[in-house]
Amino acid sequence: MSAIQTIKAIQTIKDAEFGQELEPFVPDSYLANTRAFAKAVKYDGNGRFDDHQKAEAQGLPGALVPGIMGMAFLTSMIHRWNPAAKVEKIDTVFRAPMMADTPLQISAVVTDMDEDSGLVELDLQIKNEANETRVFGTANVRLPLA
Amino acid sequence: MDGGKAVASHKPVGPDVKLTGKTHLHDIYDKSGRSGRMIFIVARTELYDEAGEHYATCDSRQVIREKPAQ
Repeated sequence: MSAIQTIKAIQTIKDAEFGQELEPFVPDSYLANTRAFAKAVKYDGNGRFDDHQKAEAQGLPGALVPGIMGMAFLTSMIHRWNPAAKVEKIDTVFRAPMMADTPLQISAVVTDMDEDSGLVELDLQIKNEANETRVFGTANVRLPLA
Repeated sequence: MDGGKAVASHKPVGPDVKLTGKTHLHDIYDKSGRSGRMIFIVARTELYDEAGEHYATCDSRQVIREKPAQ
């Protein structure tokens, strides 16, 4: 059995391997970015994603990274791994809040694959700097056959 | 609280495509753990273009923690 590899990018399903780890990355989760994202998806207005003090006034520990922004980070990682990948389904559980202005670590690993159809299943995870899982889930991705 | 989301893409969305979301209550279920019972409410939103083509299905899970009886 070969050692688990971290792979920056692949071209086709033939380059994917069971247990392969996608290259992890630290996304931009600074407040300016969560504010811009919240505005783009019309989540702005209540301060929850764009203002620490307003979020604290709502009983939160601070401004949050929107959950769907975490999903966007995960999808972005999949497309860096394979720019032609079609993300057919992404299913995420928001276990705990992701805090704005706090580093996050995004990772994924290949847990199932079908070379005939090009379908790959990935386990997804977003952790904070204390190595605590904030978001986890799976993605069904179709890769080019050749 | 927001318990998570699932998005299934049926068709890529191009620029300038006007989408309409139709949302309905899809499921309600409960789970029990060490901290008590939690109720999950799943709202399903389906996205269509003006010709009625189905682009995506999005499930949003809201979680409500049951308060212990006083």
